Amino acid sequence: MQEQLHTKPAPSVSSQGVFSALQKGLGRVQSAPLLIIGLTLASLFVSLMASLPARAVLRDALALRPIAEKIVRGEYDVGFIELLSDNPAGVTAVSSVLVLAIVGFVLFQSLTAGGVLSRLSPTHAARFVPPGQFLVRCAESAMSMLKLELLFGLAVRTPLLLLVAAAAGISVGWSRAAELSFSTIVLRVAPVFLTFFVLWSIASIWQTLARMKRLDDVELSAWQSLRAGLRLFAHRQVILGVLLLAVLSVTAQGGLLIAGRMLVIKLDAKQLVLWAFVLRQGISILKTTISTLIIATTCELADES
Amino acid sequence: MRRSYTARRSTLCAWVGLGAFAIAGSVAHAAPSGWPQDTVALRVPGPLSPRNTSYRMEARLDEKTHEVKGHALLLFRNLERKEASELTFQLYQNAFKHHASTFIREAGPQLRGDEMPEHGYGAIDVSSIKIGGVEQVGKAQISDSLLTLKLDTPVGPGSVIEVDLTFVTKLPRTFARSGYSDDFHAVAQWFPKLAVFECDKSGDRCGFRAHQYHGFTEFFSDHGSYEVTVDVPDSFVVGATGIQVAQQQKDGRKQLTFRADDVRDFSWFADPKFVEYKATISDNFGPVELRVLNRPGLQSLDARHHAAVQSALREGEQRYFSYPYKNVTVIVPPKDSGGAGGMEYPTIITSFLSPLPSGIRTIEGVDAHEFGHQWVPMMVNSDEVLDAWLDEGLNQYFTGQAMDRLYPGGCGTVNLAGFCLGDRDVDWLSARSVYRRMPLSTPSFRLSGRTYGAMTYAYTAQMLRSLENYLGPERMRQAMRHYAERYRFHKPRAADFMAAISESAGEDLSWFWNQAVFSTRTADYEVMTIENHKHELAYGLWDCPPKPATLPQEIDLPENERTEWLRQITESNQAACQGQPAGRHELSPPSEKDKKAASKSKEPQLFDSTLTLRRRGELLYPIDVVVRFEDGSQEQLSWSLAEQSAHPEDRLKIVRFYRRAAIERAEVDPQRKLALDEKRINNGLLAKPSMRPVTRLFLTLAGWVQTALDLIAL
Repeated sequence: MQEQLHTKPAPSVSSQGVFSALQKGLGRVQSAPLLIIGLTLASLFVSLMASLPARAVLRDALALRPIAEKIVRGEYDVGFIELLSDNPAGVTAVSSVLVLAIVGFVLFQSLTAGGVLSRLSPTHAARFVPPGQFLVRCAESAMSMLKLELLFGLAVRTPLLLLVAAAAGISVGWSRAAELSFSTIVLRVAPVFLTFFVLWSIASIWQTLARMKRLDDVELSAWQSLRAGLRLFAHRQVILGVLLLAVLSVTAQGGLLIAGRMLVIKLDAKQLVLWAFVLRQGISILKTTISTLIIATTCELADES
Repeated sequence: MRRSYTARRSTLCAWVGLGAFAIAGSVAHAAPSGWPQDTVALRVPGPLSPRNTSYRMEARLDEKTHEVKGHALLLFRNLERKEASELTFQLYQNAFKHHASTFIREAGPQLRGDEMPEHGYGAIDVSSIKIGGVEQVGKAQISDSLLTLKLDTPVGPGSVIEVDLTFVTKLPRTFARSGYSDDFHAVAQWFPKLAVFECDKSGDRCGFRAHQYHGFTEFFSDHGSYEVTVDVPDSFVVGATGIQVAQQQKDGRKQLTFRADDVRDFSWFADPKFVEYKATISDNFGPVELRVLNRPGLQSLDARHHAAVQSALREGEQRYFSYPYKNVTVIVPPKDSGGAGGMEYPTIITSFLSPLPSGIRTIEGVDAHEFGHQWVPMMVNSDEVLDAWLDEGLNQYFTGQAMDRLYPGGCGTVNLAGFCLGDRDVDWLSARSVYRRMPLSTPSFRLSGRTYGAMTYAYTAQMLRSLENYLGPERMRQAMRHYAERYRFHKPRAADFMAAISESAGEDLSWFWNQAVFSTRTADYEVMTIENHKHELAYGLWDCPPKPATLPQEIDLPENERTEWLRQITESNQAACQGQPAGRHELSPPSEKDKKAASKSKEPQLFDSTLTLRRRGELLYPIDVVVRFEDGSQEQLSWSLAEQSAHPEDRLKIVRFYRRAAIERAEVDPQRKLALDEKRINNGLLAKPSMRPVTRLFLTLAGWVQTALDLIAL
């Protein structure tokens, strides 16, 4: 496969090819509604489970307190602080569960990554699995995907985070940041963070490519998969596609986050908490759709190249 | 240009109108009328104070060595009935001379989280003290940050002494309110400042009330007039106490002369990087010139400084009395000199840098607080070392009022992304964090840093809010004004404050002061339990024909409840006897089937409800109680001070109700009058749990977690 990559002539570069891949990717996402709903439900399930200890703490502290209504309505924000400071054990327990949930979700994502990627691959690809084989593929690829996740986290994500911290520091002038106004700081760090998000998204696509390579060749180690994924970037079609996909991902996810947040705040302000929750689920489904679309399109682009 | 000593002497003579006294240069017995009477730096008629400690000084800043070479002519008039046989000066820069100083022993080499920089020592060296032309410096005894000089000739009552001082002040690297970093110089507590000479109330014991520079507290001195010429490089911009009355330039340096009247200190700040903003704030007494000396690039924040000072000025004039000075200057120190920020001197205050969004109102809060100090203690001259709360606490209370004026709606500290915190909230959180370990009356140097901050600032502010809620806002405003007007340009102690407030309120408030100032009593009232029982009055043995109902006095019931109870009994008796012959008849509870039918009927049932209130703390305060019933009716009760004082060991108040509706909820102190209440969530209680808000908060939290998880998948 690697040999093939080196010997195959590069395809002609055109945005049309990228959009065509995007279209095909969209088609495959549409054909996997259960996957989208399943992934969304997984995040919902983890969120609810992670928040359950908080519910117990809140019930003990507030269920009999009339002031809880005011706290919920945002009329007594200092009540939150009183609640937190008077229930340190509860806060510690809740925070621990939340952190564990997030770590657990990352692990869940990596464990299911093989199945998701196979399910979203073109039907002619060797790694493709029909819906019935999804869980089997997840189980088969779980360990290798986990290794890849850990390596990627250490070798790519962590340096990227350090890099953005350094870049943000440099952009505001490190120690002189205190002498800047807030608007100046925002103006200076905004480009850094925008670039970071695009790079982060590119890294995610790279991770998808590495996973693909690992699924295609079970003999590859995590490190080799990472390198093989990177080598795919050498194809101009892929790199152009990756850039477009990264920008698309950041724009769409960012837009959804901002629009969703604004709508949720409005609904919360009107005490329509249940509607806000429903809206969040809708947004979550859209976000999952975008994430899977990026994966499907990445598969399409890489397989074409 | 630095003028000669002779020239300085001549100017002084003209200034004070005491030619013979000054030429003689010795202890003079001048009439008070000879004291400076003009009001150059005031916008109201003066003098406003006795001006018994006045200075004429020259100071040359060496921007390379960060030293100030100074010369001062001090005029001190003894206002007491006994002579002063010695003079005591504050040499407060000696607090930073070495680690054995009082200041560093108490506070450690840090203040408010700001560490003392390495090699950043400071000191003040007095090289000459002349009285009547005779050198006295050899007789001076220095103890840490105080210098005492025995006088050959005591200063008699009403007499004036002229003291000629030469000194060099080495500024520390900015730490604890003064110092330098790069070209920025915060020149405060920089000259030998005479302490306060006073006699006790009997007039028998007299001496200087002179404090070492303590770890947490600031300064105390007499009022006077100051004329100070500051010599700095041409490029430096200077902000100082008072108004600038003259300027000269020579050899790349400039000499700026400032005049300040009826002030208790003089400080100045110099930095070539200052960017000036000027504005005028007008009120009924004329214009006040506002000058902000800001950092480069932060001009967008000038308007915020302006708004904060304006709000504090208006509030101060409403709460206390008119601001008498012609100007006010706001200094914004650089990042490296954060330790000089958040400080007050007469007509000049220092702010903070804040890179935070405008919804976090640090700048406004600091400016309003520091400007509020212009009244307390700059004019109402309390002693922070002995009565710290009279200074910082009263001003913290004032800061909340000034911020309310600027940001009505109670979000004066934070109003960001829907999150709202006011000054009262922040003070409450701070006060409860170190709740009452020591009485407020404890001198500041006996407190630790954290306790000092929370008690003197936040606790006092909350205490005064509790008092305001007891007296009512107008009575409290009048009382505070009464205190301020009575003691402006005087030196009140805590007892004077409490007496003034009680006097104005026309009420003996010792019950409040004893608890809030002189004890460590804590405050916490709660609704402990609500019990509702269906009460089936109609069942039992009834004697017919019905007799008038009675209710033993031992059953403690409010009058309306007692009436209801009697009415119910009478009705039940009449119902049981309806159509029955004379004699005893039993009315039994209905069967289960009938009960179900009855429960479906809309006929309201009678409830025997018990409400238990609890005083968890020791502090007694009159408490309002609101009880709401399931039929929407409401009952207002009170747990009066008299009731609590009569049985101070009783921690519970049990109230019983007999109504056709059960208690739905109850709340003590619903208007939060007791601002010192340590816990607020326990103020109210529902009879039945309500999961609605809990579920809402749970769903909101789950939504946040889900958003975080979605972001991970980016």
